Amino acid sequence: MGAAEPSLGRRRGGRGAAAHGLRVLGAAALLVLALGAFTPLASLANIWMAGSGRLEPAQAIVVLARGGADADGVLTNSSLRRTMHALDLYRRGLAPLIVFSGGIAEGGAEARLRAQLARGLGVPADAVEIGPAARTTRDEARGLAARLHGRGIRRILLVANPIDMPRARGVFARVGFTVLPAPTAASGPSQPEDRLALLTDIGVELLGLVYYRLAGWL
Amino acid sequence: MRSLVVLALVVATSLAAVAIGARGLGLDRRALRGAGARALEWAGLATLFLAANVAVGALVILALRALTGASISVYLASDRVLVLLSALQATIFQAWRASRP
Repeated sequence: MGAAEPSLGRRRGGRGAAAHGLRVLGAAALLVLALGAFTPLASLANIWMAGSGRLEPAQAIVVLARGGADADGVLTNSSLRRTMHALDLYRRGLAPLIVFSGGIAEGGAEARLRAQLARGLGVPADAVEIGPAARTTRDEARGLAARLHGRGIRRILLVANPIDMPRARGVFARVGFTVLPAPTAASGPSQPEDRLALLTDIGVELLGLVYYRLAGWL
Repeated sequence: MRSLVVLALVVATSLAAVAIGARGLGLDRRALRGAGARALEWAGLATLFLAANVAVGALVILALRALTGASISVYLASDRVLVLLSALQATIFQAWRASRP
């Protein structure tokens, strides 16, 4: 390559505009990458999306599904964090019942594993319940409304990841629950790799939020 | 701390590469600007491939859900391996573009 060799687009004349667009897009992508990895941007977004938790007495603690379980029956990191957070809320006496959601069939693997874990850690069997089958957060909200409203349960502590909370809170409120948000730790990671992973999750969640709004589910 | 270490590593190896390229391989330092522009084009292409992969994946999943009722997580379309594969797609596509006479 010679000293004055232009980039691909400039060399090919008519394709210069496309190449320029690609360079702008590439620069923007690298800027986002750098800001995401080396600044607290993702953590700040995490905190902002979590909103203010309301850890007050409720009728039930609802733990949303997240990530399922591996083939060897181990809960994913997010699922386990939510489960442990729910157990902490229960131990603090904020609600007499924990409802674990998760799984496409009644008693799906994620919810079943979470319930086993809770019972194994000393929560009475009658204080642990497995939610109905659900594919999406909206399905979870509708299924739990159908099951819990009939028993007079409307005031719930909702356990979800911070970034999931705006959509989850909205869709549960929409089906008639009084939602007390109980997000898992919202401070966010401090390592570049984990920050980028969080940034990716935030991007996906924002797309989900837009989809739910367009579908009229919020 | 870890961020600083990562940045310091990249800066150090980049400076070493420039020194080796210029002195050891006889490369022209003025060509670095063009190389940087091509790298930005590559990054832009990779971003486009990633956006296309995620969008197409999400649409296919939503269509399958609607048509078959199957339970398929939309998160499948956001697997982080897609970033690496999109970068590979961009590398091949850019080399292909460069081969055009």
